[in-house]
Amino acid sequence: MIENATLIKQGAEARIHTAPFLTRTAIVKERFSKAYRHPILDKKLTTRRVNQEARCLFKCRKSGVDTPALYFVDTENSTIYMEFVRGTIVKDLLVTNSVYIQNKVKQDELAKKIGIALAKVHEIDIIHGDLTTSNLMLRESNQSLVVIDFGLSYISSLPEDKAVDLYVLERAFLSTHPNSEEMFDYGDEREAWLDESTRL
Amino acid sequence: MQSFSLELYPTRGHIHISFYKNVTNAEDLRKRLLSHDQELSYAFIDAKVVLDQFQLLIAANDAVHHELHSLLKTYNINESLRRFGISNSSTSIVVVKVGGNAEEVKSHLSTLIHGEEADVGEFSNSVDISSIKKYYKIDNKVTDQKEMLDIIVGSIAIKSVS
Amino acid sequence: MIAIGFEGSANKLGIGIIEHNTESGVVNILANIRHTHVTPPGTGFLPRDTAVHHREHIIPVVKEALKTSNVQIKDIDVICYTKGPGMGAPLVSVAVVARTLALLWNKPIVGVNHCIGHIEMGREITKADNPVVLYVSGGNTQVIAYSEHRYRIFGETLDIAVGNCLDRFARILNLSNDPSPGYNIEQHAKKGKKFIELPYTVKGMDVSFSGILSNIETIKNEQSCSPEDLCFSLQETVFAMLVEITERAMAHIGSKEVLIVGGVGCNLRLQEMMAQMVEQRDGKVFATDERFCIDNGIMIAHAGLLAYRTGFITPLERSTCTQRFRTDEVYVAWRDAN
Repeated sequence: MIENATLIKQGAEARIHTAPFLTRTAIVKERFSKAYRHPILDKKLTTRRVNQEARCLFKCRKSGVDTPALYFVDTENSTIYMEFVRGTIVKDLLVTNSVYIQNKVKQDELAKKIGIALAKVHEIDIIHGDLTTSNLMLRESNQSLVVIDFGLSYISSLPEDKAVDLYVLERAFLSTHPNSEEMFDYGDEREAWLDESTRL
Repeated sequence: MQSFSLELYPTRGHIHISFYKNVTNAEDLRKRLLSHDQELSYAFIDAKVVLDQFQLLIAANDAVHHELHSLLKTYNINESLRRFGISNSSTSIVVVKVGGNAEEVKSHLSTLIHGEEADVGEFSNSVDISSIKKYYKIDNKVTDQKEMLDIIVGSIAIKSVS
Repeated sequence: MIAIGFEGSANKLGIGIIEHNTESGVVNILANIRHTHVTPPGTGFLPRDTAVHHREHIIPVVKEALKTSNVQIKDIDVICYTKGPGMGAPLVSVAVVARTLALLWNKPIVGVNHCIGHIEMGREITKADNPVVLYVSGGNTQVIAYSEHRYRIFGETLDIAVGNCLDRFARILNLSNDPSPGYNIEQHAKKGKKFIELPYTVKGMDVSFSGILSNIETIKNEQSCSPEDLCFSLQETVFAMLVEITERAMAHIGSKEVLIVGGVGCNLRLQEMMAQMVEQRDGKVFATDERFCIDNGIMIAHAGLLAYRTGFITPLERSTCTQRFRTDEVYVAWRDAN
């Protein structure tokens, strides 16, 4: 592990650290091997997933979705280094920030940002795979919506896969944020965005 | 000149970055490089294609990683040299060196390069955005420098995957 | 209270008799008799033939269950039968008998969801309190957790069930169906050494197995690998997928217990892999042996009696069968909300 790393999260498949990296602070995501898996399968899966995550993350960033910038991929150690984004997790925002809890205009503004970001993600056939309010952030510097954790992402052009992605988000919203049904009220905004995207 | 830590490979030494402007012997330097002159074990880069020192650090870190893991890259060296290396007419040059003593590197470079050493932060003045956009395949709509840098470092990083 | 359970949703015909001591909470298994419709190698069981099998054997099996249990007909409080999910014809052939006996003996009848039967029997035998349930059989592959009076499905197969994948795999390799294809795959796998890569498809908490079957024909013909190696690789691959989605569900809801139920659940390699995963998480894995994992009548009697004790009865005119019957459709009145 890189020097001076601080463990911030131990997940089922990866450990997340922060560490100083080439004058900046990086998020260091290290996938670890699973004892129950056959070693050949384990190595193949881990490598495949590290590569897939890096590819999806970068493809999104390159296409104008705000994501953490990809810094370095260490395939040999199943580790991805990326930008440490300063900001607030959307889940925390909706649970603790009284402005967002009470102000409908603020909520609409946020919902619109989320919609536009996810439309861009799906436009380039990336399926995020784990859309929850824990995987969305607002960047401190410019209040831009940042999509994070591409650990379960894959590429697919099937409308069904994109629909499932949105369905997962809707379920996550309804289970963690009661009374958020209104945010899923598809209004004119969607058409406005579609018009814009077809013009591009 | 500025020196930076290589956190992942501390035993490999520091990354030293220098910037020279008004260079007059680019043609001579280039000739010596192409003839494998061992004295020039530095990366001489045309400052036009460097947006930010972070871009250099990421590239250097990646290079050291591949060197230590003996991973062969099938890059087109000629093409890389043509795009990022110095040309006969280069006047602004960025030099990168991994390892070695900072003072020695600094004094050695001052004897090699005929030009004016400047502050490392200054090389962004000589950047040529259109070349950068072309080489890193960045969409013309992208104007924000931070976004551009994100894409540049991502492009370098993703090379070890694809 | 005593219940008799009738199960015949697939190729196992099972009759079980169970006693719940409503004061002490002790559960006694009085009889658990099973008769399996086994088909020749290379073939699977068809609904029509399976229904014929159940019809032929059900009377002797009921008689044997009554004899084993030493229970008089007058002592039985309720008749429970599998309402679904499962194969239509076998389900109906057994339901008809359950209904007839209910009229003949003048007993109330309770239609039971087969999956709920597995879950409740597993909880009773292992005493797992509130586990994440991996339900794996020939017809079902689900990761389930309980909340608010429902067993909720967190992940499931997007195409065929894992047991179906194993069965069809065994058929391609011409393995024996006696006692079950899955058992023979497990024995072959123990002798396998070489790992052959097969499609590994996990999407979030869902899995897909159909790719493996289309792949296996090609691999069998192209590469020089023994049936043992193929069985070994198959088990390592599909079980890793199952363990992975189970772990994801555990992480999602913050649970430390896993209960494996269903016919595939008696596979010791699956239990071992699950235990390795759970160990890393500091938790516990629960599983049952073939008496309760494989379809049986006792689990239907048990789940039916739990419902009956809360006042649930299926009116005779509604004592039908249904091939599709989702686990989360059942209102679980006998458990606390959380």
